[in-house]
Amino acid sequence: MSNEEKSINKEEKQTAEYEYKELPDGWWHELDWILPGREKEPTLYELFHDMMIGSIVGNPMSLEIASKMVPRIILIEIEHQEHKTEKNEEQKREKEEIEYVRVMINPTDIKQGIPQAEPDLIIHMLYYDFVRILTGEIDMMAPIWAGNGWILGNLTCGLDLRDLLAASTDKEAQKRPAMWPLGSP
Amino acid sequence: MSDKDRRAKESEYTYELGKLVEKFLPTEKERLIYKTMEKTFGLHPMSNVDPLMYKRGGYHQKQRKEEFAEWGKKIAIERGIPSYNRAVGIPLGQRALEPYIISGTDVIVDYDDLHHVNNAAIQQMLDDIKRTVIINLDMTHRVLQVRAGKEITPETINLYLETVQHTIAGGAVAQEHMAEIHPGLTADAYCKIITGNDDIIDMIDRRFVINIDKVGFHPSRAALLKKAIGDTIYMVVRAPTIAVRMADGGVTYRWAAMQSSMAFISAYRLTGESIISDIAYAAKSAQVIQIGERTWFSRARAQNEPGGIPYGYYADIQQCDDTLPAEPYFKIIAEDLEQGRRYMRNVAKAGTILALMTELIWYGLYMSGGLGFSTGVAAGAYCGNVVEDLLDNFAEIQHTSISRVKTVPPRWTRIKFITDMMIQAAMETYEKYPSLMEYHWGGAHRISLVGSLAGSAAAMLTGSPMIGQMSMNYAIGMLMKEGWVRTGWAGQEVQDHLGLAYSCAFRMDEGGLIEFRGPNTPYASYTAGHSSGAIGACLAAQLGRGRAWACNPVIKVAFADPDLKFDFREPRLAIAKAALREFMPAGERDLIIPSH
Repeated sequence: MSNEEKSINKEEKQTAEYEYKELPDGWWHELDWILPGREKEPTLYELFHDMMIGSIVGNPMSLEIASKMVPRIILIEIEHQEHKTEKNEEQKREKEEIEYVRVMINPTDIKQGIPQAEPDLIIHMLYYDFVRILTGEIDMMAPIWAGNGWILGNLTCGLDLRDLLAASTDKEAQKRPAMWPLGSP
Repeated sequence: MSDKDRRAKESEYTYELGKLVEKFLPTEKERLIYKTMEKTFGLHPMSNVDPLMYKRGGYHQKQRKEEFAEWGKKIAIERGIPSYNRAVGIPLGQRALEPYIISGTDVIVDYDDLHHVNNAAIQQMLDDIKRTVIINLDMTHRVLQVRAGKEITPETINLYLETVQHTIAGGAVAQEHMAEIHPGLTADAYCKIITGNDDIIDMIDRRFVINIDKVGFHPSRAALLKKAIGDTIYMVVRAPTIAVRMADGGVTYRWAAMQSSMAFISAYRLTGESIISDIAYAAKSAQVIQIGERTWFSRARAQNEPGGIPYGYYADIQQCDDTLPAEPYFKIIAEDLEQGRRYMRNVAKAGTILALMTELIWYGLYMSGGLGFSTGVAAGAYCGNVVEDLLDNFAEIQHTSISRVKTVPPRWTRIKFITDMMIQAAMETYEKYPSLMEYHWGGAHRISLVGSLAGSAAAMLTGSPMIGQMSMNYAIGMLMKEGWVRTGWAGQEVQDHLGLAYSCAFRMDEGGLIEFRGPNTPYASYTAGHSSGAIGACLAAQLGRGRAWACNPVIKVAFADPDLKFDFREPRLAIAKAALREFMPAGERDLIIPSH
């Protein structure tokens, strides 16, 4: 499939109505920023970590955007559901039912577990939804409106994360509401 | 630990909000709130200090206060008893006696001009509601046909309507010994019919019709209203203002009953006690829509008084949404930001009537005796462009986030986060603008505004007033209390605390369908700052569903009447005109008193 065709398909997906779906086995091998050697489905921490290194940090636009933000602490709570294709115990990796990942923006850092200070934003979501957000397939708000997750905290922090993810997937960031420009706390 | 092993610690990275404010000053300067507060106080609106404090000239800074002082002296001299006297009490005007900008206009008025006793438009709004009652004519027509053997034709209906204009103004038709009223005193009394049937409208004298297609409704709204009303004929009766000012709202249906019965007797040439009693019952009691029910004993008032008007009726009385297409809001806001803002702004405009009727009139005047404190609570809804500023921004955030969903179901989990975000933004705005805190100087102002914003936004997205009510209750009882440790008037009101159990109850004593609740619901019977939010939730839910009325299509059409004295479509302009002393109300007695 040519790059042009790929981008058309991506566009179609973005305008289509959101629906929860599991990703096919081995989906992570298709991502160009995933670190080599990931044989099993990555945890969110692994995935976000690889994205930080392979996509966000190396992307000048992401860096420029992130540098304008105030320091942020985001706690991501991910619900792991049993994958239909994971038929036997061997295939199943050890995953917590809820995986906690703490992400910092400006400075950039990511670690497993909960933060030591009160987060600006908490995002609770299903694993595959969050993967699709990271890959730019769906908008961050789509699963929230559909009732498959919730967010709690600072509105502008959510906008910051959305801008950052858009830049990392080479998409144009949505115009921010006038009251909350980039960098506003 | 070596530098290599060191991880970023969350607590090490902080920022000073105060300094960041300066960085984003250009953004703030573009906000309506900034511009309005700067104009209002004549200072940098985000400053914590008023350098002009104690140097503002006392009460002399306001022309209206000087006028009051002058009148106070004059009255004291004329009657020999002291009256209004600026020499008593605290010396007013050490702080800014700020002017009030009517939202959405350039009109700046004195705060005192918004007091209900000083503002003729606010009085007329109340009078126009109190003096309205709606009678269904179908039952009477049936009784006339079956019991009296009369034929009902367009000609007889027109004759009846011409006759009832005479009787409703106090004219006699059946007895010579009846004293009549000077028509100049009741020039605002009339009757008009409402129907959804175009054939009937064509046959009735157009002076006596509120034509749904021609009173300014958006065609999609008009179509829905006509379909709902159908072939039925309703007659809207406007008793004269002077009647409700002398008696109360309870006089209206009696006035309508007596005068419409007399018109039937005259127009259809009726005689005989038995048939007339049937006609009278049919005309005055069988199918009458009162605007308000009686209130319970300790708040006792007659029908058609503001405490007994259901929230859904209030939502229908306002006409600010008439020109909007009847389409679900979430679809509008997902597709077109500017159109979405129009919806939001019209809800804000409607808030003028809702806040005035509940906060100022019911709680401030009827329940508390008419002091000036609730003037400010109500003014929060229609002055200073505060609601507009916040709603504009909320519309923008909804527009950018709501794409690609078929619907927003009325589930608390879908709405909680957006309530959180919006109310936190509203509360941050208060914290950023000390001038706004001064402008909305009491907790009641702020819970009124915060609750209304939360309730309206949630109801508009989901189409559910219940979700709106939950959001309002959560915003006040949780977010405001958590954030500011206080809520309304010291936070003692029952509705300021989380109580979703009764908020959502359908048991009679606890709640019921929200559109049919009202300030007369026991738990809501005496608290300021909440009713306008509940009404806003009913109205917003209607817009969220893309409907043309919230509770009763007949009420909706009755108040779209262009011949009403008060303009229910542009309430702010009417109130601004009255503050400038350019609004002419009804019910004056000049014809029967010495010239003055």
